[in-house]
Amino acid sequence: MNPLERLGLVDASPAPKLNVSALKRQGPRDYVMRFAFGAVIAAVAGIAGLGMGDKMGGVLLAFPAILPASLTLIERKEGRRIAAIDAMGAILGSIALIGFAITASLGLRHWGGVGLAAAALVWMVLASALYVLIVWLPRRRKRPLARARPTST
Amino acid sequence: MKEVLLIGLKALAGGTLVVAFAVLSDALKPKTFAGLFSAAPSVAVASLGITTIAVGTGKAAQAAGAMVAGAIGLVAFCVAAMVLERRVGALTSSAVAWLAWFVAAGAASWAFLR
Repeated sequence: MNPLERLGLVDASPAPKLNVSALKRQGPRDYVMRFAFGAVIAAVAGIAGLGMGDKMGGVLLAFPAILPASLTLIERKEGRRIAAIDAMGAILGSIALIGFAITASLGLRHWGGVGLAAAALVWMVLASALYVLIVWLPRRRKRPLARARPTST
Repeated sequence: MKEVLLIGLKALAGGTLVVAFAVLSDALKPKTFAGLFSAAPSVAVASLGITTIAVGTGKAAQAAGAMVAGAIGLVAFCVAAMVLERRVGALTSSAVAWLAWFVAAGAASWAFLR
């Protein structure tokens, strides 16, 4: 069994889908709270950059300010298991964030603003690739076996 | 005065991008895939973008390089949050995971940014 399945950290179906109706469950307060968290950490990183140098400000650009707010909201509405599944996805997103930072650092030096856009693209591609390799493909490979079982018994 | 204005702009752009990624994450299924966007570079894109436009690419590139240490810390945060969430809930797991971020980001900064 996939280790993620053993831990109960997988959804019913791994295929990504857009579910716009899920937005109805979110109130304006949820987004105001996330806006405030994002604004505060961006301001703190800016102030730290001014007071303690660009390196300190840079480290804080990856400070986990939004994730605790998201986990709290998900836990309140959908339970702890779903919040843990969200955190599992965030592990993959944060690994991709290392790729973003390296690309941005090199890209900004060589290509200016285009380097930042390239870094955002690298994050998107890396995060999606990690999801496909670690979550989606292992479960797709399992499916034919699961289908074959009832006919053989 | 210019610095205060820049920090205000970074806060506004950072908050807006965080909400944009949160809307995307809330509208996506399954939760593991939606979770990717919880670690999206929303604050970083806003902050580095404004620094690039207003100050120049040199400072932005230096901040992006240092961000690698913060991103390593974020991986540690997410692992700790995932492991602890089901046992102790979001508040306690986030508090412990923040500690994991400080330790991992601090160690990475010490190793790479001295």
